[in-house]
Amino acid sequence: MLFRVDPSSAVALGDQIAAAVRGAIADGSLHAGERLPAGRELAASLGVNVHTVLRGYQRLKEEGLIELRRGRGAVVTDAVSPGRARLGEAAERLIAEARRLGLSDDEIVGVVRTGLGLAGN
Amino acid sequence: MKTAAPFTRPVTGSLRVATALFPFLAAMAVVAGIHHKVADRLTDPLATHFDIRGKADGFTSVQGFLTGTLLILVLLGAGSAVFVGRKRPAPAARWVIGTGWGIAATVALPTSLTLLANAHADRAESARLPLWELAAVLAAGVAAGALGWLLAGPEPRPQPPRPGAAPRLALGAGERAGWTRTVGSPLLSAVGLLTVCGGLFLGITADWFTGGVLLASGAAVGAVTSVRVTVDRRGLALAPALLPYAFRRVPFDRVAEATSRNVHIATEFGGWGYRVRHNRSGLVLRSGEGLVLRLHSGREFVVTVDDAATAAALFNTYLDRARPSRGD
Repeated sequence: MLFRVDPSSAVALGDQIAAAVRGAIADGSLHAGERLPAGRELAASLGVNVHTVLRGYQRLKEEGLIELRRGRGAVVTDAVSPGRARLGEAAERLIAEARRLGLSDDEIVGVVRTGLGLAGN
Repeated sequence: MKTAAPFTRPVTGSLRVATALFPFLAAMAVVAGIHHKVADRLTDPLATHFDIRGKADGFTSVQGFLTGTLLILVLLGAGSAVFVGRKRPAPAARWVIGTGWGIAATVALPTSLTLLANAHADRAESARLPLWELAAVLAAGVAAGALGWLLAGPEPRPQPPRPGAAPRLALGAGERAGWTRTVGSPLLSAVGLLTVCGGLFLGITADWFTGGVLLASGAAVGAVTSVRVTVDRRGLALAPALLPYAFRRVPFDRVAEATSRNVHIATEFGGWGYRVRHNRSGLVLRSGEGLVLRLHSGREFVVTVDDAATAAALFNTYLDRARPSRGD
């Protein structure tokens, strides 16, 4: 898969790395069970700090897209699907749009909660 | 325009098929012609086998002898032409053509000599074919083979692509990218595992020296069974998937251009694994899509891996960055 990072972008480098993995899962070029490069390797490859890569990997773990295991490295979870990754991409777009409008984090969560409430009724 | 000297220019396509077919057609014509000339002087059956002193000791009917010979020539000629005429450049086609010329001569000449020997004898039993004539036939066969080899010319080389025509990956001025993918061979990992097991078994039951050698070679095989291929700002790197240490690196300054193409490992490498041939080397764990680096030395470095087109495009982009002084 292709990782690309742009240090001049406003998006944090770790988030750019997470977005690359998410995009690769979404377009089907990265499959369940595949191993991501070790943090140190990828950091050297892209010329970024290893903690930046690990921050990106941590983010993907919280989204449920990868598992991080000591000794085994980062592996795409078995349950992952391109649809699940696209959902994460949609959330990214929602957050970016809300920030552009000047909404605070609480207000963004409020938007989603309102949407859920409406859907529940 | 540069004109190549005869025998050094690749002979291609239908001309090559004709070169492969010609000796067999010529051999059939010679045998049929001689038979036609001496047919009324032949006895049936013919003496067709001779002992070491040149005396006849085996006999075959005229029709059976001729049919057998012509059938062999037809089959070999057709096989040779089909092999040489295949769409995919056949490996060592030049040697197949040369061997064909040699075989055609060593079939047609003894047959002709046998017919003549029978024609000159009044009875089949008194026909003689001295041993030195067979030696001469063998020498003629080798000479015919060499002539065919020369006429076949060197293997056609694929036209090198126009430099600069390979695709690039659009990358912003400050943007960095890294492409990575693992490629593996389940068969090779089974071989590695078996070798390691054999090494352990030998080490425990016999001696640890032999066992150690097996263990080390098993580990070496294991190291290339699952390989991470990386293209980034430093060039191409191959590393065992489980260890972050590259065992092979190709930096940009050695490479003229990167391309991706279908790699056929049986004809191009003669097998799988880490292979080194006279004009190319590389890690080929399967046939199919592969990243091909054309080196300044004229050699190729090949890795068969999925999504090689992206890897080649990224490699070329970094190659352009590494030599910004290029005029175009």
